[in-house]
Amino acid sequence: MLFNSLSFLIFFPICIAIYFVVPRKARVYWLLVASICFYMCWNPVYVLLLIASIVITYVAGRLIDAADSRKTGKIVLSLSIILNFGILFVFKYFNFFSDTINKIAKAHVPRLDILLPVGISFYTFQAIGYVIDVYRGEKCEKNIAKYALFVSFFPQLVAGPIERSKNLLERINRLDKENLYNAEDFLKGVYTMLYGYFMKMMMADRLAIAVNHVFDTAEYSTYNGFQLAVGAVFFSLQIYCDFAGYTYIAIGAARVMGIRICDNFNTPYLSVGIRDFWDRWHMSLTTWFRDYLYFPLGGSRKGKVRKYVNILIVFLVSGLWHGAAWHFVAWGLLHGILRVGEELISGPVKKFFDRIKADTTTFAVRLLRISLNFITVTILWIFFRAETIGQAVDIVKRIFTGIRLWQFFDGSLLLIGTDSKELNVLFVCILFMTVVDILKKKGKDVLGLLYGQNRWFSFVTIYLAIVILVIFGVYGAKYDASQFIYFQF
Amino acid sequence: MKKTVNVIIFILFNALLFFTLINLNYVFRNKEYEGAQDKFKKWCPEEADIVFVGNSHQFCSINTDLLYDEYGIESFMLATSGQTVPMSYYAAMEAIELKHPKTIVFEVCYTANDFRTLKGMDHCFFDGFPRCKARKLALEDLTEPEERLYYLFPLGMFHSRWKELSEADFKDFPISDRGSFVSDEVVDNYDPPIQDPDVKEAMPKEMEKYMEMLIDLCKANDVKLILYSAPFNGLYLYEDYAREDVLWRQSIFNYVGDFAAERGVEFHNLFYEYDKLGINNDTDWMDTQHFNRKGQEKFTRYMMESGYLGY
Repeated sequence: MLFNSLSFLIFFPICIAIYFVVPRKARVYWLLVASICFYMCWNPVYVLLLIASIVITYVAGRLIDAADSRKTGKIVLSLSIILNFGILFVFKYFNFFSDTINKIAKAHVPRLDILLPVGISFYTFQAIGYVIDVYRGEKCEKNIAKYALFVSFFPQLVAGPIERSKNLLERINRLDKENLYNAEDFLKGVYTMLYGYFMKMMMADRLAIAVNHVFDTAEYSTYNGFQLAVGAVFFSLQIYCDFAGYTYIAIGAARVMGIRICDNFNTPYLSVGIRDFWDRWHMSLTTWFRDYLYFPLGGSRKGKVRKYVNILIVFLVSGLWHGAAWHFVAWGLLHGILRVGEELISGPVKKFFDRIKADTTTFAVRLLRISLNFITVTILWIFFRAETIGQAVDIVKRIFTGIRLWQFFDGSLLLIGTDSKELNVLFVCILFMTVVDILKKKGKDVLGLLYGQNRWFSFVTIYLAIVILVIFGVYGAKYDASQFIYFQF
Repeated sequence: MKKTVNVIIFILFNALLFFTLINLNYVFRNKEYEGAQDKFKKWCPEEADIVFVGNSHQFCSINTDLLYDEYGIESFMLATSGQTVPMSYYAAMEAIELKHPKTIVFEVCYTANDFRTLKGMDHCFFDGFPRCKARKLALEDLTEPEERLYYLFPLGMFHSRWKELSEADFKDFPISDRGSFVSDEVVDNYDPPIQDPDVKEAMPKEMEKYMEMLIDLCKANDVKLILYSAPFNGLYLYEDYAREDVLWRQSIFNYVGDFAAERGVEFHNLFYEYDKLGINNDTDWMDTQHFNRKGQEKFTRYMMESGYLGY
């Protein structure tokens, strides 16, 4: 069930209406039933995988909690990780693995004819994170219904954020004890959802039309350098609006019910470097890798060389997490290399600027750094979006060698599947999003500002937002509703 | 008190939103050739003399306002653009259910086409369809469940028309209250080719089934059914295949004539009376297939004066 589908627009009000009226004791069970139904709308059979993951990690948590020695706990933890990653491997990576083996060793490892279960990477990581937390001494959840809801909570089930037990499970534990919701959370939740829908329907899906035009064709070579560059920039914006839009809808939907889930994006395109970017982009995954992979590998405690190797390993795995294909691995590795490179030159660069007494905190310098970082990230996104590494390299080459000044003025922009009216709407939306991001980066509480106004202000703004979405949003029969990009991971 | 105010605001909000969406639904609909369904329930008189069903050939051939002004016939034009035979069957069912006319007149142009609906154009038929049993049955029979929403809530499909909205979108449908559509455009045309009356080709089976259903429906409800075919030329006048297409269609109309006769239903093939219609090929066509205002008036008068409409 997509958040921008009619079924969700029917499901969600019914779900929260019942949530508000059922007795407190029943709320966990109701949300669990709703979450399972939500998942089953996509594929009823694959809910078994979700249940398997819940049962394995729940039992593992209980066994680790009851284990009389660290060693026993470690064995249970290892088994649980192997089982969960085993399922993930079979359903997500087996065909990639067999294709690679067949290509390299000219072997005949068969392919599996299976669908990639929606959200499997997200709930697997969340469940494994919980078991590791229990092993590290965090509280073990004894109530299986509450634990099942923690893993399957529908707003963040299929595309995150990847939650931690100390946050979401703690909230779930309070569901049967107190009313978590209130007018403020309800209204702020609605505002957050509307902003998410704005990013998804007004921006991501509008950008997708042009992006698909440029990238989905085998004849990308027919586009000039300027068109390919615009396609790449549009994809940068599309993936942000798509994923962050989804996240905002998820956060808003949970908040309407009084359940706060963690933020996943903090103005990533206003970051000044690769490290800064990853501190702001898909933060729940970044911190997951930091806590459950980078630190166990030794982090920065075992010398500089080992630290850089660890960074490269984390980014390599991150690339593979995003997709079972070599171009995703290349994308992750390139980010890792740039991240290490940034680490290596940051010291000398700082010394140089200190020596010449240059003020690096001025607006101009920050703008330059933000722009350079956006260009870098955009170029790397090409590896993410292209079908193969070769195609990505070719596109990058064409951008750098094919841009001519006149292409900015000869109408090339209108030959990538969009028209001037759509572009005008898009530019207004980009401007609006940029203003919101700048306010957010400056620490302004936009939600608080909206909530601080009187009821009639809320009435009018929500009304106008819905009407604008209904008219200018990209959805409906003529439009082939694009899936949320991050579902495939 | 605070709770009451919140409840009032909540109700007001939803009412305003509902009202806005309903109006947007109207504004965004593509109004070209539309509106017959919207006006039918309100404007068609109870127990009307005639209700016309069919496609554009029907509504470009008969002027219901002229029928009333000159002959005092109370009628309504329920034909819509791209209305296929199955859709005409449900239009007839709707007419009988809501207004119970004495006569239903069906223009048979689409008996030659083996399609149940025409995607896109079927919105002219479904969007304004009044709520009744016929509508429910038509939606169930002719639309896919996953598409049904767009017939109930056309805005979901037409909202992307924001780019092409014009003054006309905010006004009434461009048809009269009796459903009459008239065009003042003029194109040059030729006499349509005429098929040998003995050349006959069977209707597609599915269309024959719905024709049977239409005849049974009218009989069961004691409504007189009249069939006719309005003359037309090929869409691409100068192409040979366009001429062949018109001739082929007439061979099916010839079959329809036999089919109707076997079942005791009146059928008039106006291709064979083209010379008597008084049509001027230089002034009476809006395009090569449809009459403009002048052609429509001449054709309507001819139909009346020949007694082909049952009066």
